[in-house]
Amino acid sequence: MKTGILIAVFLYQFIIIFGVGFYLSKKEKLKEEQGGFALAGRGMGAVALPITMAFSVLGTAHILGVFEMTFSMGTIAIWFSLAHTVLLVVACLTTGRWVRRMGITTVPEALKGMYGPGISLVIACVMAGEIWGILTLETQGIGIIVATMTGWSISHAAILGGFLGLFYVILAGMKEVGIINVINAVIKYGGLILATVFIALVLPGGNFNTVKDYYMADPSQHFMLNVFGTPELFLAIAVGNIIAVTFCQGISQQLMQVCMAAKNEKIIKYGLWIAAPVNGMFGVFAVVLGLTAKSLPEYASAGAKMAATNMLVEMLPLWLSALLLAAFVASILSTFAMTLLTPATIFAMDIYKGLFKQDASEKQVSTVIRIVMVVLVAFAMMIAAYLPPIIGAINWLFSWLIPVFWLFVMGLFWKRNRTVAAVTLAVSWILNLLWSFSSIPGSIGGVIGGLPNAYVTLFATLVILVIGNLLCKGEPGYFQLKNKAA
Amino acid sequence: MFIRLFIETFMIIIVMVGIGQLIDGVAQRFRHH
Repeated sequence: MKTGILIAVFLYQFIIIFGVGFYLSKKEKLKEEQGGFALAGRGMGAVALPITMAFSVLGTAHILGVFEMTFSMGTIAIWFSLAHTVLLVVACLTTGRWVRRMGITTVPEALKGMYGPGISLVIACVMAGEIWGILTLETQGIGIIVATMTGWSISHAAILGGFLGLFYVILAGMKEVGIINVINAVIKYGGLILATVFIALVLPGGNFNTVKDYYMADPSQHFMLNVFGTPELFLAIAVGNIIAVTFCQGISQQLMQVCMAAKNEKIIKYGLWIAAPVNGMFGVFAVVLGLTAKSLPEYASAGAKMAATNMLVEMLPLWLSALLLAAFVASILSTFAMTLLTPATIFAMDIYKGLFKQDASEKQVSTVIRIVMVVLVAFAMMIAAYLPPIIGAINWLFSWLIPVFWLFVMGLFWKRNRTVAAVTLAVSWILNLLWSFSSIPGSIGGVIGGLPNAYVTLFATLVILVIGNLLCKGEPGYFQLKNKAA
Repeated sequence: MFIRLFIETFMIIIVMVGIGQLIDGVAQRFRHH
């Protein structure tokens, strides 16, 4: 792709990001609101909130990950997107509303009230680390996409993307992210829809029938067109993704901070009708493009990682490649911005304000958030150069927060015991490490040895928490206490 | 192929959201009793 087109794509993002950022930062200076920077003054409305929720958890894995999964497993890859629909249902109807009701700024702040400062601090460190891990993958993703679509070097593209991602959020915080997300939503879906229609038009017959015929010609490939795949794939991919995505992101600061910024609980509840399709339908386009790339031998030979992007670069006209690149960059940047803002907020609120300066003003907290974001993005750019595998890394990262989700839910509605909580966290985290970095899964073998990390940490969490809570005494659930007090 | 997948996915999303809202509605009613 010509350098001019690349410059045009980044210039578009640059103008939108700096335009909105500077306008808001000037406006916000006039009024020092509570939680103004991190939580948009808790004033996100019925449009910005659901769109930001949808795009905060839609990034590299939705594009590159789904392209790659579709190549080897077929339509079942759509369940990566559908797992996010389940996540948004859970977040909009339960955890998201609860964190908004509690009036907190970070998830560890809620756990501090439930399990004490020690456990809350450990969770704050792990959660910030987990989100930062996703940030390194998003940095890598933006590098790979720009590099494959333009011929630019991955590290240069990652650095440029990193700077744009930083300015997506550093000037005016959550309010800036919300407005840019709404503007970019049009580019994201416009680019994807036009690219898919154009690919269909240049295929024989002007539709996707030849792609369908390719898979129908071989009976062993029929499952590739089935949204439910085979029973084995459904268990490993669909259910595995639902567990990992829902129970990790359902409590992660990455999504919860958006809910905390809502104007009220009702907007979160009804926002589900916008957030779920906006996020979930993205996968349809990625899967169709992935299936098409595999059915065309000239692109299939490039392998799972490169087939779809190679096809797009070669089949689309220059202007449409540029529009699609803008759509992909915008999608990654929206997640990038949230994975940058949220660990910085956890550091500023739970470590800086919680441990060192309890009387810190809103302005001091905002300054700390901005400094931490600069440090985090710099380290993410360095790590991204090592190119860790995206899907494997996400599976491992997501599994860290599964015990936190259940500690939160059981601590709200059932019972709270600090020892049981500490044992649950320690055992499930050690198991997560062993499952990824030791030969234990291989030596177990069979169906169990092949299960993703999420199954293992979920099983350990539920067994220890349920048995522990049944056997040990503890304080009643947080909401039970509140109801009694009322 | 595209239209079928589009409709199937959209239906799955609507069913998921609908079931979620239904469970939430029942839970709210149960709480008020």
